[in-house]
Amino acid sequence: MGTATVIISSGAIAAQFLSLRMLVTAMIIIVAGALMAKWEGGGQQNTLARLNSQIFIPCLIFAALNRTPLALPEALTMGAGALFFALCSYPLAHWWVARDPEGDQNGFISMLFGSTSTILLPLAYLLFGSQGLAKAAFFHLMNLFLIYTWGRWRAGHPTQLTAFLKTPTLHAVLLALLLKLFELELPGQLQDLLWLVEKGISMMASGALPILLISHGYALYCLRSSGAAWWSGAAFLRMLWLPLVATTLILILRAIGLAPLDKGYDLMHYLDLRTTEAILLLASALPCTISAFWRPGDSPLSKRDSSLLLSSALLSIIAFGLLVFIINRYIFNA
Amino acid sequence: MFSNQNFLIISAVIPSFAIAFAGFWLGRLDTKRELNQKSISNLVYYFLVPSLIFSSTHKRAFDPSEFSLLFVSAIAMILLMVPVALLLKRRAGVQRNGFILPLIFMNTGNISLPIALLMFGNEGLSKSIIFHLANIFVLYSAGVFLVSGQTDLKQFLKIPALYAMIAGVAAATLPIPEAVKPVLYFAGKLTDILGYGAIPLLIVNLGYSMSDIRLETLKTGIAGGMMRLIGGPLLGIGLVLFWRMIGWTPVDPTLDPLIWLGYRTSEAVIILNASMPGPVMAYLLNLKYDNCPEQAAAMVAVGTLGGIITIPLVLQLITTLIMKVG
Repeated sequence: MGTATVIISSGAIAAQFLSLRMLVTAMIIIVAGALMAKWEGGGQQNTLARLNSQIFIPCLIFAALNRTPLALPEALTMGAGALFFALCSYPLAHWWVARDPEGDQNGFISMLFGSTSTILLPLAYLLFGSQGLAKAAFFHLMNLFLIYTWGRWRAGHPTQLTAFLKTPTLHAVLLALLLKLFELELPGQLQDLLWLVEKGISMMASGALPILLISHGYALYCLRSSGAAWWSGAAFLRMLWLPLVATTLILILRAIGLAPLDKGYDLMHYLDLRTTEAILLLASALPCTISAFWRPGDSPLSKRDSSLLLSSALLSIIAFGLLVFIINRYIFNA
Repeated sequence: MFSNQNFLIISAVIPSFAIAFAGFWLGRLDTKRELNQKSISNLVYYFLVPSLIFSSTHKRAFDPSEFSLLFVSAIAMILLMVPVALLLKRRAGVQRNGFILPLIFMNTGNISLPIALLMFGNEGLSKSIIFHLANIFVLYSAGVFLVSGQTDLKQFLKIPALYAMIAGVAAATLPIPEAVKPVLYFAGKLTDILGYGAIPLLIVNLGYSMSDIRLETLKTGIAGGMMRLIGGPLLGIGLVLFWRMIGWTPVDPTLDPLIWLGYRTSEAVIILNASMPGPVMAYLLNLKYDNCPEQAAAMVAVGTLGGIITIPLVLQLITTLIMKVG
């Protein structure tokens, strides 16, 4: 009995250590991105954002969905989670924008949405593998939809539903779902060719991880060089508030039976549900969205909003560390 | 439906070409050329490729004879192409030396590295990296001298890939103190993740560059491009046979199978790299020193497009002639 306890607890410690190592790895890559921006003098964040949104993120998401079984209720849970986070952030966003001396409404987008593309997707994959990434993909997709529609409208920009419908990420999700739904029985040669194309997409998907993180660091440097301050009290409030929201959401999901704690006969299903909770907690530590502001034609961010973004990105490093500890200790090792 | 051998070749080539096509498509959509290729190149050459090199070299033992074989082979391939290129230059009635740059140098980065990885695994990638370093070493010395009348070895010494290689080899050969091992392990994992980004971005960048090409400009590059694609592998095979003849890559069946396979992989890497089209970097040097840039661009483009057909054929040749046991 004593030996078993030691083995289990050493396994838990190893998991903590592995997760933290992954987190440190991600942070170093982000710093590399910031250094690259500094060396180049910044200004090319649009190039990276375009590469990510048009090639790397769709490939990453397609590859994850293609090799991971995902139940519809879980996809809906992740989507609903993104909506829940945005709704719960609304009072904070309203307060933030109301206090803006210049009446700039871009703060709505910053406060309401997290940086799902450049941070959540790579971290979900690094920490929880394809299963985590597939769940994060639905969170990201809903986040993207809300930014293009409600977020832009609330910030005083025209909504871009058509642009959302044209996003390669949406197409990648739909294509992966279609392939899964119909389970096409292709002739041998075609099946081989499809496998080869999937192999190419998988290569792109593994390439996406460092490039997403580098582009996050790049954007942070650009924010800093635009005069953003390191500290914003509102970012601190947001960073305290969202994990509480996530915890509430997890408790609600458990209470209404969508994420039961009962291990039952299927341990994989149990782990799957815990991964859903882990992704929701991880998403609560996300910094304010950054890539949403690199769209051509949008007005530049105010110094106040830039400071919010930069500060939230720095605070998120601490939050990720704590939440990863909590996830391993209280969710997977409960 | 495919034989195992053909499937291996197709599986090495199709994913790379599919990614290149994605880059090409991205370029076609980007009509205003908003994507900054210099930024992508910076990311690739200063961060991702050095990581890939470190990650693939620090895991395997360093073999000086293997290193010299590949390094000398790369230089020999360049030298062997010089008379062919000079002949073509004379026939084309071109006076300036920049013309021969895309003929004698090979695209050992964008195309060769991913194919070497997919076809011959980590061993093939490591060997291809050595060949690549030798190729760019000569490009930045003799190549720059050909187009400008001056050498640019300082540029070579600024290549981070060189230092990544040195660091990787040092990590693989030098005795590492116990206290440093966890740091090295962490560095290995970090560079693994960063290295994943190198190959797709190298190919996307190549595809994006190709999207800029206008068909009417290709005519001037047909002879040069085809010469590179046909002459290169033939000379590569000749070189490999010569190495066998003088005993540098023995084919003795009594050899240890792993050693035998190591020699064959080296030979395969030499032929694969010899069959590559002219490098984009050669064209950039031509452009920088205004020395036949139009012809160079056309030769690189024709070579790269023609490579879609010739590279699988060369791989077929490699698996039939070189990698075949017995």
